[in-house]
Amino acid sequence: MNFPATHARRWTPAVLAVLVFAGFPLKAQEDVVLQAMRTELDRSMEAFRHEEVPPYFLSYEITETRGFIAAAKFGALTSSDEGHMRTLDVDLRVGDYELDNTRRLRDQRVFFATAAAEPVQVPVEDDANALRAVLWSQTDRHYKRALERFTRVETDVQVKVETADKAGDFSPAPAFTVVEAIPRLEADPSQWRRRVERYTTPFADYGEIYDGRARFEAEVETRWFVNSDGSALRSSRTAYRLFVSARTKADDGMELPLNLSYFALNPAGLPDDETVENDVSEMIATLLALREAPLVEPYTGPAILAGEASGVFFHEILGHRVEGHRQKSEEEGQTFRKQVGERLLPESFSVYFDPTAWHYGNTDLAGAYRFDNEGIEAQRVTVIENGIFRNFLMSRSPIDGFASSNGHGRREPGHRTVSRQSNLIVEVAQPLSRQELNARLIADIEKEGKPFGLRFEQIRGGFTTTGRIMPNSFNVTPLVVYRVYPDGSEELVRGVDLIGTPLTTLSRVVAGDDQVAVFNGICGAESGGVPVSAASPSILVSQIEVQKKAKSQDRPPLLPPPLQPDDPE
Amino acid sequence: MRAMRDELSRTVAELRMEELEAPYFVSYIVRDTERMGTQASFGALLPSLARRSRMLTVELRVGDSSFDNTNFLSLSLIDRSSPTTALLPLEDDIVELRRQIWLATDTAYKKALESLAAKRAAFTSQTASEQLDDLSPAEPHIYLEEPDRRLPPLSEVQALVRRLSGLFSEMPHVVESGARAAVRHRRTYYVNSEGSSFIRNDPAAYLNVVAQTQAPDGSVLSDFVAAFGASWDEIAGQEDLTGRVNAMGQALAARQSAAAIEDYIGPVLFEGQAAAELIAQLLAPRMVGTRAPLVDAPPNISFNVPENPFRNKLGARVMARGFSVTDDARLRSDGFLGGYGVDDEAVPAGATSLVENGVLKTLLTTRNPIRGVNGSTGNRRGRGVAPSNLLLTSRRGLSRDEMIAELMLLVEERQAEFGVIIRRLGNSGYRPAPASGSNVSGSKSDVENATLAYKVYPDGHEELIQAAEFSAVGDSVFKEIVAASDSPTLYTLNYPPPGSDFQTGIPGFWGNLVSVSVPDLLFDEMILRKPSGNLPLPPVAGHPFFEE
Repeated sequence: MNFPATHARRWTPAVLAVLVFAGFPLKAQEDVVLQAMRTELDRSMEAFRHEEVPPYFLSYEITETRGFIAAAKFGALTSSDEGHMRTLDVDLRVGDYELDNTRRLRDQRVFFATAAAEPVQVPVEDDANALRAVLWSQTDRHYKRALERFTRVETDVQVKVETADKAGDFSPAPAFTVVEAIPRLEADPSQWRRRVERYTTPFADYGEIYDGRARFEAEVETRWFVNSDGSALRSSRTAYRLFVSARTKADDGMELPLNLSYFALNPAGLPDDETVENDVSEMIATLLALREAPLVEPYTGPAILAGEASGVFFHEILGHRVEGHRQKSEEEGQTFRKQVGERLLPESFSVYFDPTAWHYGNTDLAGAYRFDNEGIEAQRVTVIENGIFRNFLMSRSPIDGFASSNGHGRREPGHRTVSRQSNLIVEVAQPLSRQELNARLIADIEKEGKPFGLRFEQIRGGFTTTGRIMPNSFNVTPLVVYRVYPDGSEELVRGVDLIGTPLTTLSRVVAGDDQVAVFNGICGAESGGVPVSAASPSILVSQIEVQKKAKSQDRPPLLPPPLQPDDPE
Repeated sequence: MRAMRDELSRTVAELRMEELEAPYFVSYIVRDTERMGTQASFGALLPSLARRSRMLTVELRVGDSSFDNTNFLSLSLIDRSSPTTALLPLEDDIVELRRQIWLATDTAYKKALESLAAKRAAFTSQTASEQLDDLSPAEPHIYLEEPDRRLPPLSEVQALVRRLSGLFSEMPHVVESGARAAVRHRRTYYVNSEGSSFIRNDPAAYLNVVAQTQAPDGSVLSDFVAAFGASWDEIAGQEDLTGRVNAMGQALAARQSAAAIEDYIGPVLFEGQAAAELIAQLLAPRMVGTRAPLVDAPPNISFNVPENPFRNKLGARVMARGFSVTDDARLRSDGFLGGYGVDDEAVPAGATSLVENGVLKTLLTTRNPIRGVNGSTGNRRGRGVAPSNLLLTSRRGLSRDEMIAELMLLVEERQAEFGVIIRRLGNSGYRPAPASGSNVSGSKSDVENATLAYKVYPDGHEELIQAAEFSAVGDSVFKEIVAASDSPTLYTLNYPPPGSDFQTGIPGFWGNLVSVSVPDLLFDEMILRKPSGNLPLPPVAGHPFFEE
């Protein structure tokens, strides 16, 4: 699973974001899509009731995406597209809550267990007959697949040893009926085409910058959901994202990329041109400095993970390991399965996941939603309270001791829902100031007798492996790293990845400061890419490990750039 | 063109890595494509797209034409074996166009040097099965077409697919259906270091309606209506589209209650679309001269590149006497849609006589030489070789009545109960989503299943066959042709060459347009059988629209 390069820099929006879900709720009956789904679901359950093995649960989810994208490189537009699509996901279960067709078959590799689903396109028009025709054929297809698979599951249960986790396959849940207003897509295509060109124009002045691009994405996602428990939901979310990325190359062939990413729930929440242009100027200066920066050799020692880097650090080493379904699989590492009630972090640290939070301070959060992909209302979940591990993120797939969903069943359309992260928020009860945290780092460097410590300022993302076959480890990919010397001076360096194993690394978190930064991104895992956020202060870790980064062996371009904008043609 | 030429000049004059070789051949091709596509189901629109892109592909060779970095595949360089491409700005910004061309050229040059070194190393331990040059010569050629027509409004395309897909609301027996359409306008720009250049229009438009039903025994039956044109007007102007869709629906209904053919060995007459599809599916791929690259793989890894079985049959009889096959890229009117002025290597379009009086004379080629064929036939389309307009002719053509009489004669000779006429063949590019777990609509042979076929009895009456699958259709089948009709069917289809870049995002619409002109064909003997595979159960619930 990974958390790719879609992070947000710290910035203060000039305008407070407005709540997206304004407007009067409509009655479910008046929504053509919802009504068609409800009618077909009821008809299917009635028709299948007479079968020898009838379904005990059925849900439909239609996800609509309306979007606009504009992209430019070096000041010139490369694409500008609008899109509108709807996809259908069906969850049909035979058996019962204890044992059904979704149970993981032992010895089945993760890829095959999770990659079977595929998005099915449905009409983008509110035509009940056309929608029901697709729902009908897909329900039949899923029913037949479910029957086949349930037969295999029943055999698997008998021929394999008992699983350690005795919980069933599905948990009962309350029904919800909520119909939210659908917000409009607020993006002026011509304006954004101009803006992405403008943001990337400065890169064209530097021949040693080989890629300089920007991309704006505006999206309104609306989900219609019905299930046989009686739920009927229509919920929408908006996302406006701006990415700027650029890349240079050191003389030794190392690719040196940097990214800027901004996220907001409405266009007014994105930064103004001046802010972006200043960030681009800073990015160019850093890129040029990185080309000359010295390489770092593998190292262990104290380090500060500045806000965004620390958010990704917690996302990778903690977040993925508290996703409930991983405690169920016999192939997962289950790092924290027996750690409930145990201390994982210093007493001053608490970590919670809160999909009900749309903002942190002035920054909008990408991982917010009202209902998850199983129609369960989003809930704040405290995972670590005063350093003690308390809870897992749960979908409707129960595990021993955690019988119910807490609204974290998530997926990208076309994938099977599992428990996933939302907005990860790290809080430190008695935070240090930035200066105090730096002083602690220098003290640790001197105490350990190290020539320097490290400060990770920007990261690209990371990934982690949580299974048993591969080592249970993580890798966070830094982009901007500084050596911090005992005298307090700093030096920009390059060429390292931050690596480690979860329990050891968590135990070495010693302090956090009062400067919280937010990382908004898309997290990819077995249920696809889902928007997430991580808000965390800078943290001091008494010992981290870095390894050499893989690097390209290609030299920089042989010929100079062809033409600069001011050159005579 | 100016950006491409400027950067080409600089590359030829200056690009060289120290002691290593400079490029001896460089070409740039830019495909500036506007395209739109849409789909509809049961009268309602599915997602549409409308997009413009400019894609550059760099072809750069080091070494010399007798031995260069191409025609070589190394598993250790597999990530570097793909063509070098770059997305170019949509605006005519020469600074940025040149920047992207410069970066792509640099990447292509480094890849080429590595490939050449690896190929030379591979030749120290193995020899190629045949010693052939890597690039055949071609005279410099300059070609220019004026800008062509533009795309229609998307709403116009949407309206037609919506209307045609809505026809199935009158067909209760159809369980899956859909209509899709795509239109493309493309200007292709090309320059190379030998002095060739061209600007060419590559328009294409496509419409496809598919339907599927299920027989009482579970057999899945599908069919399609397809239409092609050089512009959307050529499709939208066809008056019989509604009638063709309705006829397809009626044929599917009739096939539901028809019996499938049991094992049959005997004469088969292919009429109209079926004859054209047969030639497109079976003969067209055998008319292209592809070359297997030298492969550098560890000894324990088997890496086979499929070869055209006709490659070793130059000069041999591959068809019955009296039959000839010609590829003619010059044909660009009267319904021929596979023609062009110049191919993707700036080789002028021409006519190539492939089969003469049943004997294979040559194969279609690009500038990548193959044994026994000198030079390019001007059939480089995208990344590979593809036919343009394929014409199968017979020295003697019979009227329809005479064809039936010939068929009956063969039946009589065998003292068989009946013969078989096939009027439609399936095509793997035209299929709705598989119904209810079905995987049976595909074919197990090189030829798709017959979708409209009849038993013909000596008294002249015809009996509809539900479906038929071909068995053991081999390379020698064309020698079994015993008669051809006097009037050909002109038919166009998508022909997918390896590495085609003609992707639209609309299923079934990709590849190059290839037209085939084929008379009805009577085969002395073919083997047909009931389609194999597991049969899915019928849906548990009835179709919601028709049930209510």
